[in-house]
Amino acid sequence: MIKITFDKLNPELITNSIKNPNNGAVITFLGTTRNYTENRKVLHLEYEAYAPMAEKKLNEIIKYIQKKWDINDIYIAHRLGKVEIGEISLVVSISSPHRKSAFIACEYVIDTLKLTVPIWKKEFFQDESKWVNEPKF
Amino acid sequence: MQIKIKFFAFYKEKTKTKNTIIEMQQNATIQDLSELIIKNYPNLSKFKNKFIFAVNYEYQDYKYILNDCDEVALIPPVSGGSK
Repeated sequence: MIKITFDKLNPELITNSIKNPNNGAVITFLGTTRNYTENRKVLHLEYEAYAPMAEKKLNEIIKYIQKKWDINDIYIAHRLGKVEIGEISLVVSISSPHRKSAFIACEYVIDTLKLTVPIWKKEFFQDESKWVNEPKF
Repeated sequence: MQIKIKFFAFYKEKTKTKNTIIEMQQNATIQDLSELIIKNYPNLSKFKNKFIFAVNYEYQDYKYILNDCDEVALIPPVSGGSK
């Protein structure tokens, strides 16, 4: 299951939705917004996505981990729009018969998501705002 | 042929454009499109040869030959998720 949404994310609902009696392990990772970046105070963040492509790329990641590891269910949710400090921007919830494969798959999902899924983050400071990873020349 | 172009994040801000349509010759490549984009939006010229393109939701390189009605997106370096 994939959700890219402007609404607040509810990790408890997400986690419950993938729990089932075949699983011995459910892992839920939360990405939360930080108040400092390179010693500068961040007031809030904004996320933007190329949603149809982001969904396609997330689906590819899900298919890959289901084939590679012993994963039953997975739910990836990403928040868009304005996100206040301390709020949840990403939820990755994975269920598996055994914990080891769930941990490995969860880390793979987050690492890959940050490389291939077209979602961008803008940090708002006191005096300016900046897209993260904008190339400098 | 007509190619749909989508800009995101800082590309969208620098071009003040979210979506546009560019007219191109048959068999034009991403390389041709890249040059046309810089011609139309000179303030993107510092990103020349650094653009990452997706065609119909799939990453493609500069040799890719475009087709009529393709949706091409300029993909800024990704920064979603969390560190």
